Amino acid sequence: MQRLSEIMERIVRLLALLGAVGVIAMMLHVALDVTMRGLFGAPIPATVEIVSHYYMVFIAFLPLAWVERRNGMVSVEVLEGFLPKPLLRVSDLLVAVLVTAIYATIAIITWKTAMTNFNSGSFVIVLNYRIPTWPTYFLPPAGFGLAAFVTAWRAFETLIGAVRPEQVHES
Amino acid sequence: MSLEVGFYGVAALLLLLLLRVPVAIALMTVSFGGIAMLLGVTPALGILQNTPYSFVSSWTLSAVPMFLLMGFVAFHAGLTGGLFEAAKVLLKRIPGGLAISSIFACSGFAAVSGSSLACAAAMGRIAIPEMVKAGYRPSFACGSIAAGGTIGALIPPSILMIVYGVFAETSITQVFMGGIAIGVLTAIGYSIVVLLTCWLRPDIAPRATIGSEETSLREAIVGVWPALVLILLVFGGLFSGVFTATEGGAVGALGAIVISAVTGRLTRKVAYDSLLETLITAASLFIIGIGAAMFTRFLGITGLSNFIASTVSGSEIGYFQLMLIIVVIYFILGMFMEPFGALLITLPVFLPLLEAADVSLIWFGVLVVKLLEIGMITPPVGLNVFVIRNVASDHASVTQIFRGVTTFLLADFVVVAIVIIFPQIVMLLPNALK
Repeated sequence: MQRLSEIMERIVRLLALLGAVGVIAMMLHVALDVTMRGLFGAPIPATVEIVSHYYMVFIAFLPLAWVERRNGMVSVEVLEGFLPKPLLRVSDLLVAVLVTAIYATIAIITWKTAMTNFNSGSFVIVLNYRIPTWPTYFLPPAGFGLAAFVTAWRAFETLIGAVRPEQVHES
Repeated sequence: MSLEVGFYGVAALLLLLLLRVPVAIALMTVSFGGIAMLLGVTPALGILQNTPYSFVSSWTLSAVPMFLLMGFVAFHAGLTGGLFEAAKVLLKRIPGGLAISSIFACSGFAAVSGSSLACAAAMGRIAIPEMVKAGYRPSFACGSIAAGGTIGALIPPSILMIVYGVFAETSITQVFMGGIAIGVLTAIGYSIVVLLTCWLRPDIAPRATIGSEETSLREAIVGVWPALVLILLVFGGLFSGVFTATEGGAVGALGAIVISAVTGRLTRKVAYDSLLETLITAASLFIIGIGAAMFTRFLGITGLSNFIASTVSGSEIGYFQLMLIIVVIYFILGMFMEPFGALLITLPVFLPLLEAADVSLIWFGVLVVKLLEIGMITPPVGLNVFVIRNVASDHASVTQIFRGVTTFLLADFVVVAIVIIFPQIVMLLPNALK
């Protein structure tokens, strides 16, 4: 079980690093585009499309599981101080199950979108350049699917008592 | 029937949030359930299917990670720390100087940041630990930065103002100009809150001034130049038209990296931390944004937003009543919604209404961003407060930070009243520029 957890950690970190590469690439690409346009009047073609269909999708979905792994999701903790520990554990379990259900549903239905786009080979045309957009449609199912694994794992750990509420909330 | 579902949806959202469901998941669950009830499961699945990609694959939104990166690099490399130190030198003789300095540092940082989140995050890290150490109550220290962060979206560049300008077909530069006035007004208002708190409740904010030996004027000037260069780069580029605000984010982020490298502050750790924090903040905000976009669709389907609008426009009301209603609506929306969603569902209703009432759309753009920013610090969904909670988790809980924000909200309402009663204050710069 420990081994499985370590493997998951590695995959999750690797995807997050790919997201970071997306951030750097977007910055350099846009800054270069502005410079080329300003100095030589020759902007990089299709910058807007590449930013929105590639870099942005990388940045949004690849780190999702990693954010979940670090309990980085934003929630409101109004009741946190009032609930007794056992109830807090029940609440943690229920929340983890709900989150897993939503992530898994989104992963499955966005996979269908990805396959549709893959089969039709969807693309956008910008000034005679043909930019394929179908590859990044696979990122939402990948991101949400892995995030669902992470939260399902957390639900399991909460259930068997491997993680006590105070560990979750103070980490 | 649909209206009822809309009201139940809002109630269900509140309940889920109370039960500690993450904000994004609560928004998605309610939207999915509500749309399934009204239109059936297939359209509801359709919304879950299409919204993530379509919301995220946006050129305008790309400014978010870029401005975040600029902010985090500037912070980790200590570029913005100079602003705080410089403000401290200038304000060292004033009671509450530390809190007021952090508010003015927020205003300075606002000039290189288009989002209040980056501003709150960057300033929160530097100023909160220092304020807590100096004896400020942690909830007040966190509250002042959560509020001070809202200046980030008021003083240009501001992503919210750009989206408004596109939608209202008005000059973005003029809205930016108006933003300077309301940003400065807000900073003054918050400073008065700090002064009053020092005077009335020294147990919350100590009256002691900053020790004069702490920072010298020369050190402060040396420390502030990297931030000034960055401000000149972004402001210069924006107002001369060399690049748009969206592109300005990337140029600014690269600028921050280059300045850090030149001054020998770009360590591997700085780069690594800045990138990962950009990623975690952007990704956790995008997922809330996706949820909010779904919730916006759900509210649209229920007709709840239309119902409110027709109730307003159906009655005969004057300027002040109209403004009061608009303020109340944004206040309520701001409690639950992220600013882009709240802005985008209301503008189609309000813009014709305001044009008929002969209200300047440039002025309204400034006001609406201020109202949306108030929504960033009101419970239960106050994104600035969540960001402060993320950067200062050792010091205060979300509930405590919301409590700390309360007095600053009072100042916000005074600023809003001033802007509504004397619109010419905001219009001074835009009119001079014409």
